[in-house]
Amino acid sequence: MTEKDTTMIRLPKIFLLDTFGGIAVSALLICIISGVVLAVPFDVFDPYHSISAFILSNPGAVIARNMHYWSAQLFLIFSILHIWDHFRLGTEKGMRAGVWLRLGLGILVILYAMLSGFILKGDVDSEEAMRIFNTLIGEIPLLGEQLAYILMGREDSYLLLYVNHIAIATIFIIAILFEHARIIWGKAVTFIILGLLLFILSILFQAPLHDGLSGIIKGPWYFLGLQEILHWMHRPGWIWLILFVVMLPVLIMPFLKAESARIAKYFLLLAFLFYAILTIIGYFFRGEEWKWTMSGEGIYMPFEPMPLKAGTFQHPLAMELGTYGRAESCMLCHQGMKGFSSAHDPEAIGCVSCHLGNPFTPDKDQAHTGMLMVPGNLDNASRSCGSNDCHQDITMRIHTSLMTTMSGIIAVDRYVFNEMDLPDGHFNVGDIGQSPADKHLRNMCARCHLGNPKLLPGPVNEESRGGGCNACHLNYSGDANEELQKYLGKTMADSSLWSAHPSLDLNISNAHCFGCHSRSGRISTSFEGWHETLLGKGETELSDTLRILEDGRVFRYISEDVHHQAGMQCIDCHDSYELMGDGTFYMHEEDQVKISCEDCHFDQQPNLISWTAMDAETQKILQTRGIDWGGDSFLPLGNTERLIWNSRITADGKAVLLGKVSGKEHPLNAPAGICKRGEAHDDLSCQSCHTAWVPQCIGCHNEYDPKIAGYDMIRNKEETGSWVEYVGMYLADLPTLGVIEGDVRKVHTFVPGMILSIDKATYDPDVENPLVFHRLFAPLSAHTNISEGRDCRSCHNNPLALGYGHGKLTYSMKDGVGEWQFVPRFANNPNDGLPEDAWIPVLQQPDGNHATRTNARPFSLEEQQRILLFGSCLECHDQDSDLMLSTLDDFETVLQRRTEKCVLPDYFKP
Amino acid sequence: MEGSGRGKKIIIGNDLPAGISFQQGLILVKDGDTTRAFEGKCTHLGCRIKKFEGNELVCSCHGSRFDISGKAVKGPAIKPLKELIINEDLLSGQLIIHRQ
Repeated sequence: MTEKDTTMIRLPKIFLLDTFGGIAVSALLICIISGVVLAVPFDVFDPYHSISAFILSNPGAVIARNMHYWSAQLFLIFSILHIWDHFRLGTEKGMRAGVWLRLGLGILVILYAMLSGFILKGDVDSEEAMRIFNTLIGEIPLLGEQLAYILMGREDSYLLLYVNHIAIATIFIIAILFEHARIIWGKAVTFIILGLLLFILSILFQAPLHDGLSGIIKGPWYFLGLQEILHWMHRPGWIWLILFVVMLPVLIMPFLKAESARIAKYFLLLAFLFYAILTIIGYFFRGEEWKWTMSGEGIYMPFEPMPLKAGTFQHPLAMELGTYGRAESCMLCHQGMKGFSSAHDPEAIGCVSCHLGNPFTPDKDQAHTGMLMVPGNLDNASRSCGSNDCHQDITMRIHTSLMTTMSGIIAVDRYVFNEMDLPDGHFNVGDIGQSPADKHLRNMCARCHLGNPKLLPGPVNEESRGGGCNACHLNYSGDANEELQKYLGKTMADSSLWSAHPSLDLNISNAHCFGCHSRSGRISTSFEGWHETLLGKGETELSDTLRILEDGRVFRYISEDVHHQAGMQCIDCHDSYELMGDGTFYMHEEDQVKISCEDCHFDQQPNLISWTAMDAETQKILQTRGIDWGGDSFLPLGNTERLIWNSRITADGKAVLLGKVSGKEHPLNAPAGICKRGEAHDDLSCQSCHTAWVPQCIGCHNEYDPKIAGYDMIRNKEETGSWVEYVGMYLADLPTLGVIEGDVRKVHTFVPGMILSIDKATYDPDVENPLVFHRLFAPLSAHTNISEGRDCRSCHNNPLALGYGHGKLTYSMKDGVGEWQFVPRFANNPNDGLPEDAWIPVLQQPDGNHATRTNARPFSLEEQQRILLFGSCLECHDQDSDLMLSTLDDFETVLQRRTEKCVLPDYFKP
Repeated sequence: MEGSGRGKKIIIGNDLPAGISFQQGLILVKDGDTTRAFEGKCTHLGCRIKKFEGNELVCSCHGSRFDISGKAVKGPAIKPLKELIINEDLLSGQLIIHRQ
């Protein structure tokens, strides 16, 4: 084939001064020389650490490494172009067969030399590349395993690979080159100009080194097409056949006739273009686990300028702290930082593990590029707290937690706005739209989720919302806070003077929960005894019984929960899986919470669990807290396979619960005898009797005001227009009781969660049926427990407990017939004719939906009648009398023993 | 670990937690009293597996997934993880895993 005959695309010469082959020779020489220089600081027994250390301390070594890397890339590229030049000009015809064959095989040797160089940097990309090629070579029939050992060496040592790289492969390439071109040195001018260009390139652009944090694992760029192909192959050993099919035309090219050679060259051109496309896909569009990605996030960009700067390099001892076997540059400036928990000490995990940035440059601006000022937000948690060897499992499953999804809140809100038929379903706050309900969530609710990012550093306070891992684990010491204020107030001269770091630890106090849980069900405030009022910030002064929160709301003291009184924290009952999710998507809070009163307060000791059943996370928590209980005495957690790790039965048979933060041991008291007497109250939850009070809200109206200042909590932006909630009245009183159906029917505590009206037309004038009214009660464990249970009359003769609302319930007896009469405290709501705070009408069968859960309901007519039947007895008999207490054992028998004086309700049919 | 490399015994302490653990290049699955050990390499190309997501073991190189019995449930890998023989030392409670 002559130049005239060929119809193939002609590749332009990049440099007029020399041929592609000549440039390749010069690149090889520079690569060898820089490699010899690089061998001095490089430690083959600890390559990753040695590279990361000299990157920060030895500019000469950095330039040598960069020149070695870039010259090798140019050598590969110009070698390929040179081969193409031969094909284009048809000069392969003139070569001796042996020389051509050795040159063809030389391509493989060049690729091996390149690959071994890639592996010798010892980062995670290198480790996986070594494993992949070990496996691939091992797939070659007959010789595979032996060849893999010869070429790659032992998996836990780079020594043999290093010898092959610096000696055998290099000698082989030089020998082939000499046989082919009869030269060792190319043109001096090419060498000098290329050397200068490579020097400039090496100053500006750094050779890659994986930081060990990103989950994106990729081989060298020229093998990304191969990686893409392997991704599609279930049996990767067949790749050798593909390689053979591609190499064969190259090897036999000089022996082909003109037409066959032309077809073969077309085939090679097409194969090359196809491979180039696969390489581009692999490089730019493949992310973690080789999934498609369009964002480019975490992908190494080779031509991102990161020029070396004189004067930034420091002695290696200054930054020896680090992790994953590497040195980090952060400590060049931030030495002596204190305040870390032991698990997060930079000596153990470095700085970059949390804050990202670039640990492989001594320059401040370059090091801070991509850095996270506030790590731990869920949008970056997989790269910070959840990176590789840290809390990866938690940051994956936390997306299933209700504290992240807000699924239950979204479902109920949409249901209340009549946008759904049932208050159930799986939703995520990140996906909500602009419907009236969703806009209401955006304006009123959607800040209280873990995905809400913490944008600025600072301690968790009463107004904190979200923040991912920080929401629970961030703690500022006095020093850390003081320095933060100096930094924010710009009175700190340089951020490198910052010496007190906040702690990320397991000291999770009630204050961490308070921001979000002082709203809606208000369990945080109720737990501490505080009840919200309608008073404004300026309408009162602080007193022992009033508290003004940081957000201006005023609370009145009622009574604290008995557990709070004992010094317990929220996390003493709620474990890591309840809070951070257990991998299951739940619809509502009561589905995710597994702990129940009976787990700790039992009269018959349950089957205990051995510490050997403990999962890794719980084991780590115990280790971190320095607890070494061991043994087989842990209490089981509800119906799960988990255990309550801070519980145990002591050697003398006492059940105790350890305060996780306080370290105080709390005795676990058995329920009082009255709780378990007879079967009358078997279906009552403990809270039904032991809840002292619940926060109640009635007379609520919602409408959208398009003119007022609003805030979109998803976009975290101020806007004009917002939903507004008008509250009628707050009350603190005994809970209403209702029923939760399930495997076991249970009487539980309810609050008037949604007695409200909504005018949707104020948001969307075109919406159908704009006026909404609901009378929905919500099941709530109010966290206001007291040791004493409520008395009999507080349920059986109490209209509030039965669901009739506040008022006077009286029992009148006339002519031997009793009748219950109720005078409500509040006027009837015109929407349904029931008193404002009622759940159901008196002694009627409730119809329709009455609760924010599909499995919850008020008492049926039959249940009301039975409760009030006993209540009628209490009208005459002392509730503490032996007679009334005996009804706990057998009410029916007591009823049969009634005298003529007993006047039972009119509905009673003996 | 006694020795290193291939054909060696690996000793796992008696404090192995329940669930999935990644230790010394192995995947250990403890469910109640039963523990199984798998070679921590993807059967596709040998990449290290050290990610457990959605009750599945995940290979970071090409996204192959395996269930906790070692069965490949998503490609490109199609072969199950290599299961290793475990012996329990009755005195110490330690597990002795035989790696070929």
